[in-house]
Amino acid sequence: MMSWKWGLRHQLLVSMVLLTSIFVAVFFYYTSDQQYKLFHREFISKNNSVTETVKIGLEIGLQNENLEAIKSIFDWVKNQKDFHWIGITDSSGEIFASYPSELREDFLSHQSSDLNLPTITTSRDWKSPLDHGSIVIAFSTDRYHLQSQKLFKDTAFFSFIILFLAVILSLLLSQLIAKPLTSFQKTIEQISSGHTHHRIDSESGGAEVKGLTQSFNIMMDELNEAQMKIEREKQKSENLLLNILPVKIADRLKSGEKIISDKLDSVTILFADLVGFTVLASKTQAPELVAILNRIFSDFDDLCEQTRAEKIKTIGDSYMVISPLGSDASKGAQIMISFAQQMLKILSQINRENDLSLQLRIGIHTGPAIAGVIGKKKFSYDLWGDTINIASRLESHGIPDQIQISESTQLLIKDYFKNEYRGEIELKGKGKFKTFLIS
Amino acid sequence: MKKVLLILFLIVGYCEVSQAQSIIVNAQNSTITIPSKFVKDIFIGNMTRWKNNSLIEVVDYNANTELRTEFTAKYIEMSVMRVYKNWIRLSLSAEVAPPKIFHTQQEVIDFVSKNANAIGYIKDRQLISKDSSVKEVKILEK
Repeated sequence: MMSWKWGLRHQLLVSMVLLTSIFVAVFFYYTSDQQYKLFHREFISKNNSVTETVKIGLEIGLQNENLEAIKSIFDWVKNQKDFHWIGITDSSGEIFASYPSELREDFLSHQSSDLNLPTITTSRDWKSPLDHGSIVIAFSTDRYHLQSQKLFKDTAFFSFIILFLAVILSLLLSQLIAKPLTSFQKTIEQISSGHTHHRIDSESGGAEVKGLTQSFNIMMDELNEAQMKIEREKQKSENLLLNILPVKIADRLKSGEKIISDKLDSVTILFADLVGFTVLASKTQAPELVAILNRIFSDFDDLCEQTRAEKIKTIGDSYMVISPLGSDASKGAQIMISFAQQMLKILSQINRENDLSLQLRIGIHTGPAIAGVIGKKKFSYDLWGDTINIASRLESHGIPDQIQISESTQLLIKDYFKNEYRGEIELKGKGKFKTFLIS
Repeated sequence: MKKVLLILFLIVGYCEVSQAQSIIVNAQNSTITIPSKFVKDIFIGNMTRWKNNSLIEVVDYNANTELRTEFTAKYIEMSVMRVYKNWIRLSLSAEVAPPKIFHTQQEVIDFVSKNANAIGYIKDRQLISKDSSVKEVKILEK
């Protein structure tokens, strides 16, 4: 991701530098070309003028036999700026006069108007009554080369400044352009990592970027809203699931486990039955009756939440709950005794508040059981085995507002709760069982 | 005796004819004789200084004068243009004073009389017979 970010900056930087380099190259070429043309024009014009003057001086001097005038012209030409050499030929093509004196004929054959060469030459034909020939004058291009060098240095310096400024400008510009994109990218990364509340600063960048970020933020708001709705619905579903299944069982079902079936080695099972409810039902209107029953069982449900006890089901006015899944036998039994005590307190409170006289008959037994989830629709977590039957019998043979427990439970809680032996009761098909009451 | 006199007459007469042009210099010039080769060198610019190292100032006539044509033919043995070319060559390459050109012999004599380093030539000797500032220099033939 970082490479993309730097890539964009580099691209901008390289593009700007490339464009500036092209501009500088064109500028450099144009300047050099213009300078060449300017010098060329100036040189050619001046040299033509000088050569023409020499020609006229030579012709007039010869015509008037004024050798002194000719010498003056020569002295003048030798002092001309950029003068390099002069050669005068006669009708036979032989150089009869030159400066410097050692000038050879082949010099004259190398005439050039190219400023890039060391010299530039101009020529004129001269004519007098006695003879005729040519004058060739060469001018040094050193001055041009010196000025070219100076121009080159100046242009190079100027180009360097332009390039330097271009790089600085490119960096600033690339940062300016890349900044909102970088911010965009960081926000997307944060959103990807779960921070969906992050938003892009829509005030930075140009109009297009602002539009983009605003659209993105709106989209994210809508997505968040949709996500929250989904979460709420999911939570509802989970709550519903948790209302009918223990948390651990629900988790196993959500993770894809198809058949839930566990063998519980030692679980404490509590059955509670409302005594007097049938009488109350015959005297009370249905809505009021349901409201009372709902209040009682809702408080028991809250108690389950507090103690982590697992509510299994209600059957009419009976309430079945077991010790927390995963807890050891002793601890589970203690929790269930406390649970039963709290149930009695809750019912007492409700009685007082509603001027009722309902009672609870509670039976508790500890032992092994099979637990599992059955059914496709309205499925439930349930338990099977003798332990459940025994617990149920303990309840049905119990005393109202008393907690009757089996011997197996008593052995587990005797060090923590006061209890007294009640006696033996006959359980159908199971023989005699010792029972105890919690004091 | 007559034969001897005749021979002497012929010799003197020949000399008079061959001395048709006379080289003149300023009277202050110590030169008495001058070889004909030097005459040529001086008048084409190849010899530019006197013995005392002073610059020779050459005086000449227009190219179309008979006097110059004769003098050039006799002592310089070059065309006038050739002489000019030589002077032009020297003018470009060396510190020389090109010849001053006059129309008449009197102008030449006047210039020579006023310039100690000047040298010229005339045909009429009687023009300098009364002028003490100019003297004739005898040309030594080859």
